[in-house]
Amino acid sequence: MGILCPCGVSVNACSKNNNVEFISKCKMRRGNITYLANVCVTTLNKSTLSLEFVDTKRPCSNNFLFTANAITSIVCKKDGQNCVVTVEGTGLVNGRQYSFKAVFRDQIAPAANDIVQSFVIKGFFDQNGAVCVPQGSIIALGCQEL
Amino acid sequence: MKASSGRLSQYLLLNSEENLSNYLVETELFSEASLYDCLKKYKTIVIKPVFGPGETYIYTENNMFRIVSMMDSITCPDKEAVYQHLVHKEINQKYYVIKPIKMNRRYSQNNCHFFVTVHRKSTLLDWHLIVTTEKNNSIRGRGIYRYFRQKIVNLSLLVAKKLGESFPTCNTIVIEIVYDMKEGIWIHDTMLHLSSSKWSQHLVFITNRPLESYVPHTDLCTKVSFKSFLSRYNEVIIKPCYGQEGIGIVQITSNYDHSYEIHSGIKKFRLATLEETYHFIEENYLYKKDYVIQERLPLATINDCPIDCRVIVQKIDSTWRSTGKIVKVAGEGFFITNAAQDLLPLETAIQNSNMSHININLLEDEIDEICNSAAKQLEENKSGIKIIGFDIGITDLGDIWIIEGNHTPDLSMFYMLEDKSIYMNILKSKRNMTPDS
Repeated sequence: MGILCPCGVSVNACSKNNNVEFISKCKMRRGNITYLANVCVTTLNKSTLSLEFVDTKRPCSNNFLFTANAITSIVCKKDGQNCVVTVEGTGLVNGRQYSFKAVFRDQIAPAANDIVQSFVIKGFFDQNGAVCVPQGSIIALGCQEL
Repeated sequence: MKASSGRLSQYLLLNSEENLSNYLVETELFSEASLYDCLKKYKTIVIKPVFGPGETYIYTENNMFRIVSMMDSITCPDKEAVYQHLVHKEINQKYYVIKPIKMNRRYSQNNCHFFVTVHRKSTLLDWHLIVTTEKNNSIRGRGIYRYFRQKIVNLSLLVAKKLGESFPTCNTIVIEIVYDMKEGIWIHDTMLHLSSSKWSQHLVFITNRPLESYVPHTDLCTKVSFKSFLSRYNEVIIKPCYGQEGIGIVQITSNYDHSYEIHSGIKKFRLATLEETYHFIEENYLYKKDYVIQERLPLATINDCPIDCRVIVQKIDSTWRSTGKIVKVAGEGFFITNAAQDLLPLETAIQNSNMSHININLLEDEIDEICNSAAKQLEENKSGIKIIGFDIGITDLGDIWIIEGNHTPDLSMFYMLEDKSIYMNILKSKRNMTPDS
C-alpha cells in the first residue's frame, strides 16, 4: 500500500436476512445489509464508509443508503491476534444527517467469520447486535492502539 | 539450551578470556537450583531475560527477601516463595539469567555505573571507544570514571575484541560497567547492536566527519541522558533501537509550566514532574526494549503536519546514486511520518510547505550528496547492500538531517505518485544494480 496506516479498516461485506431495528419507527425489519468502508486514522478526511439496507419483505418503505460525510474518530484495539476497529462520525440518509458508530472485528483465524459487532445510526437505525460476515471481508489495515 | 547471541553465551565467551574473567559477574541460567544457590551466596541478585532489557532485583534483608521490579515490590518470607513469585509474576520469556549485583547500595554515591559503547567501522578494522552513557547520576561516580577511564576503556575494547570474533557482523557493542569503591570494576552486561540497530547506525554516521553534522544528537536512553537531553533541547524523541513503522516512538516536551507532555501516536497527555515522566517512560517503554534518545528536529510542515523525504539510493556501476525522492506528510496529530496522510513529489511538497523560499535545485543537490556519502558509510559497515532508503529530515530553514537509512526500503509508495517515472527509474536502476561480487 505504500503509506502505512497505523489504524484503519477496509470493509466490503454483505449479510443477508438480518433482523434490524428502525429506532425512529420502533419497528424491527428483516433484510440484507451491505457495508463498504475504507478508513484510516491518518486520512480521516479521505476515508469513506457506507451502509445499505434492503428490506426483503417491504422493499419500498424501508430501503436506505447511509453514507458517511464526516469520519471523526477511528480507534483500534487488539484482542489477541484479532483487531477491533471502532469508527465514529456523521452521515446522511435521504439528505438528513445522523451521527453513527460502527464496530468492525477482523478475525485472523481462516475458519472464523469476520464480524460487524455493531452499527448504530443514532436516532434512526440499529443493526441489533453482531452480524457475521465472510472471512476476509473486513481487513484491519493497521491495528496500533494509538 | 541455545542462547546464541544472548547474555549467557556472551558471558561464556568472555569468561574464556583470561584477562576478562576476573571482571565478569558470575552468570548462570535461571532455575530453581541456581536461584537458591545465588540467594545462599549473595545479598543482592538480579535476574534478566537472556535477550533484551528488563531486570528484577532480589534483596536479602533480615532473613526476608524483597523482590523489586518495574511491576512490583514485594517481600517474601522464604526462598521458595521467591521462586514461585518470580515464575508466576515476573518471568514472561523462555530463558533468564541470574547473577549477583556487585555494587554496594549503602554507598551508592560512590558507584560509577556507565554504558560504554565501542564501535568498529568494519569487521576488519579496530574497535574504538565512542560514547559513555551514565546510567545513574552520581557526581562522585563521574570522578571515579575519570580516574579509572583508561582501565575501563581497555577492558571494554578487550570485551569488544572477544565478542567481535564470534559475531563478525556486529560492529557496535555496549558494555555495562560498574565501578564500586569497595568491589572494584565489574562488567555487568554486554549488548550487541547489529547493523539494523538505530544506535549502531548513528555511530556509523558520527564516526564520519562530513556526515557527523547531519545527524541529530543521539544517545542511549538512561535516566541521566533523559534528563540531560530534556534540559538541553526541551523536546526529545525516544526510539527503540530495533523497530520499524514508527512503533514505540515517543515525543516528550518540557513545558513552560514545568510539566511534561508525552505524545505517542495521536495521544497526548501531561505529567507534572520530570521524575514522574521518566518513571512512565521507563515502565512503558524502556523496560520492554532498548531505546535511544534524540533531540527533536524542527521538521518543515505542510498544514502544520511534519514532513520528511524518503530518498532511494542504489549502487549502479560501483557508484551510489540517488534514484528517487518522495515526501511523506505525517497524518494529522502525528509527529512521525510513518503514519503518512499523503505522498508528494519533493518539488510539490516544498511549494506547499513552510519552506517554499528554499531553492529546490540546491536542496536536491545537497540531499543527493549527503545520501550518497551516507550510503558509502553504511556499505562499509554492512557489505552486500545495494539499495538504501534514507529518511531525510528538512527543517523550515532548509537544514538537512539524516533520520535513518533502511536496508529494505518500501518502493510501493513511489508507485502511488501520479507520475510513475520515479518508480520506473528505481526499477530500471534495480535491474542495473552492481551484481554481487
